[in-house]
Amino acid sequence: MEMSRRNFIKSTLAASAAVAAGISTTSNAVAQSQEVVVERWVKGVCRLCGTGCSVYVGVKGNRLVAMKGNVESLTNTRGYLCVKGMNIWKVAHHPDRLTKPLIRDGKGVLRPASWDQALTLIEKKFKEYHKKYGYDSVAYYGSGQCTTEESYTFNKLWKGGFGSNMVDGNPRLCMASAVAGYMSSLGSDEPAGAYADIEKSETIFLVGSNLSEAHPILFRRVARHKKDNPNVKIIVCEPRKTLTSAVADLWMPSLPGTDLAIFNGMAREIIKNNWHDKNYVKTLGRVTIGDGSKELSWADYVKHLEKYTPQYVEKKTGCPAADVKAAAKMFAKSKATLSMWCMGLNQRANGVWANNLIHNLHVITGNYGKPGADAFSLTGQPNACGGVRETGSLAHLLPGARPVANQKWREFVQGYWGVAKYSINPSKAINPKPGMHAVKLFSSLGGEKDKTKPVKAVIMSTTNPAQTLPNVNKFIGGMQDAFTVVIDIFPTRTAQCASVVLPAAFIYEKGGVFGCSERRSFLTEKAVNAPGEAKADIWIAAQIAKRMGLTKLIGWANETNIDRMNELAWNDYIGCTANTEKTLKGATYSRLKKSTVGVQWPCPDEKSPGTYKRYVRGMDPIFDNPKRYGYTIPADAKEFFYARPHGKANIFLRDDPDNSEQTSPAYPFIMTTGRVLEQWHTGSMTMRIPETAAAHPHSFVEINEKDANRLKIKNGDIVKVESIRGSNILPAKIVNNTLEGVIFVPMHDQKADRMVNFICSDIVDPTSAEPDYKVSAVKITKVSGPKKIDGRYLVTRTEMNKKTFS
Amino acid sequence: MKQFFLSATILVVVTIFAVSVNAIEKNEHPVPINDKSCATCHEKGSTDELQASSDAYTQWDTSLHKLNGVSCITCHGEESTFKPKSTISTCASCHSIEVDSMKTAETCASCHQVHTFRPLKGFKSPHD
Repeated sequence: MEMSRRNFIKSTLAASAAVAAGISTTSNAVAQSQEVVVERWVKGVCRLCGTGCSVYVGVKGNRLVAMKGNVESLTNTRGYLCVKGMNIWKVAHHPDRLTKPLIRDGKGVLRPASWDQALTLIEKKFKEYHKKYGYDSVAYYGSGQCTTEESYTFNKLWKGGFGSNMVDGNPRLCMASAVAGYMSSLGSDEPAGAYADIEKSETIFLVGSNLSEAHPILFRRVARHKKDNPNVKIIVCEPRKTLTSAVADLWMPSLPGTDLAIFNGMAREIIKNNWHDKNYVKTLGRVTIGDGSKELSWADYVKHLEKYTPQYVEKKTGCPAADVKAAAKMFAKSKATLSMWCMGLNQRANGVWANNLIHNLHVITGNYGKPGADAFSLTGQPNACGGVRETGSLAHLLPGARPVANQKWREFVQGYWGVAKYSINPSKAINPKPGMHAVKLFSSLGGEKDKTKPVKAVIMSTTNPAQTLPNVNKFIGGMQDAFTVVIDIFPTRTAQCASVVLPAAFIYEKGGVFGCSERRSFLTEKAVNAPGEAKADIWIAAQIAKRMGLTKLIGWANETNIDRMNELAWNDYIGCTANTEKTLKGATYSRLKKSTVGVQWPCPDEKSPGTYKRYVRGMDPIFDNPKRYGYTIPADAKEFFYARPHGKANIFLRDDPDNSEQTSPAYPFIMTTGRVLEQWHTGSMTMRIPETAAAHPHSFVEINEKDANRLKIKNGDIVKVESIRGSNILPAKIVNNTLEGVIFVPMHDQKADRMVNFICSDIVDPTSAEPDYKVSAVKITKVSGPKKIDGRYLVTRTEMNKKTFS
Repeated sequence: MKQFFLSATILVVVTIFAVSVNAIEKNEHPVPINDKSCATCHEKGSTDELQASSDAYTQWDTSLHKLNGVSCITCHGEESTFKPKSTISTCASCHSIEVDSMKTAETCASCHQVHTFRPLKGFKSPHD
């Protein structure tokens, strides 16, 4: 039978797999014929950023051999994938995979051990510390890369089983300010709208986001929208003129840490020109200050904004006064404006206020409830929203993203989990006091001899805090001295500090649900078996539960089939949150298994299609039965922020304080950090993909050409970037796309003298406790002329036995 | 003498061609890349001692692929995975709708300029 083009493509390897899989090809023609035949395609989600690209992984035997986009997808429309996504499957069979538990011996060497030995040691230490130092002495630090089922299980184990809220995760380092921004401005976490608003918008305000590199598939949607609709206005507000600005009508430069003045300046301009939506403000807005409890008048707000003249804004931020006026007009005069932001707003000393001020712009111009309008926070990880925010796997939250301090909700969850019956904590209750946020947790982590450190043990999954915490040198000793358990698929800097390393299954080796930025939950099916003795986190959590006497609390602890464990955990989770606005009660496991597009909450029952737009009658199912969710919505309300008293969104009076580290004659540059297109987080995966490693093999420092000329630094010269906390030695990249006085260093390099977080400021936002990665005061000095850089650096199995980082 | 030069020229050309073909057959980049970015040699005006043709880079530089972060390595791989010509299955990893809808056994490059990716004039779309 002749193979048609369609069938050939469907059955052969996508994404240059033949070559990358190590299959020798002798010519282009032969290359095509030798492409690996895919035996089956298994649906899933991309493992990397928060876009939530829907994919199919190609499987041959028990090996992943390819990946392709899902053409039905509503996230990566038409099935587009970025270079990271199309190649991520390659890490599954990398020779560096951890395949056996490791226990560090008395000489500091990690020795192979059995699962029983590793789990017995964990059980012994946890029980010992619970008894000696209390239940809060043992912590869990999770990740926006664990599945929802896994995060929910660990969260339940700790908060329900141990009576301890010492649960936090890496979303604290990236999304906590957005959470607090949504909660304080709109009353409920996560966006009102969805990606579908991109194609319906007339103005897009991209702020604190290098969308083209951090979320390339969403950038493609924005760029396509602009190409198809040239009248659409795109504003980009960020310190660097990146590729994102290539599609912009207006680039608004701003010195890192100063853009609150821009947002207030835009609001002032909008009101001054009478462009605000008076009816929307009257019906759905409420002026307030501080924690939001005190209501102020519109006149108070107008008076507050007086200071933010375009001239003031220019002086403070470096953004030309004319640009502030132009941006205000584009924002307010369009029929639908969509703002999208990411770490540029969140990872800030005043990240929550920055979020509040974006919401202010949307409230005063009425840009939420209509198609194309929204204030949309993008997430950096595939399951920070679904797995951590929605399951409440942070120190101050419970499932449904409701505060642990909320007595009514705490009592409900307590009852739902059977805490009174099953908890091993004599209190038989969920602790009403929030646990420690990430930076505080790791500041409090130490060995038994250190009486100043109350946290003695931590289990960390799918995250790498020994590289990602700000001012990371401050925390490494504590991680080495405490009893630390690391669950990961590869050696990392954190595994290098660990007492026990547990080999984890990769997402396509276990399956599970990821919930992306747009409230969409999508099930990845297990495609292949994990290598060696690697195990799914949910299995590890279950073993700990059993050994700690919590088998009945974790109802899936005795299951052996991972798929069944996942389903039971998911059912427990969606039952727990069924009566919250985050409800996914209708997203049953069987529905998720059948679905090729996933489900957006609120989705109260199986008939519900899920929700594209919240807070709007006829679109949001909460309006159909508000009492079920504890809300009251007037019968005539078409749009209503039901999680806020009287349904009104807050318009906050927020000033523009200089909370970030300030430059000085000794440290005259502002350093900002971020992603590059081809790498992701600490590079533990993307530095192991040949193509992405080649594209970005090591970090560099971007220096404005005028600064470089002044310092006599040329392209490729080796320079020292130094703050009061630490330094990096990096090759210089001379650019004209950033402001004078601002330098940029990517965050992915594992080499000790190129790990940028040794330099970063550890100031945190006072509300969200999210660190200020975007603003650090540094100095730069030339070390030498160009030198060969040892790129593609990876922590190896051998290096995990060394105490110092190479 | 003239004949000698002609023969020598032919020999050199044949040798270069043979090396080139051999390189393609082995799927090796003609010279070691050594972690240099593609632009180092392929960008117009490159001052690197191993200057290569800048045509492909120049065409790509104005393309939607560049705008959307689809760079050289996305289609051609890197040193250990290098392929001089991208395969249709590589195109399909993003453009599977278009590839699936092709009625004929052409390659994408049959109708699309290789590095600008614009359709060539005079070709009737083979897509459904």
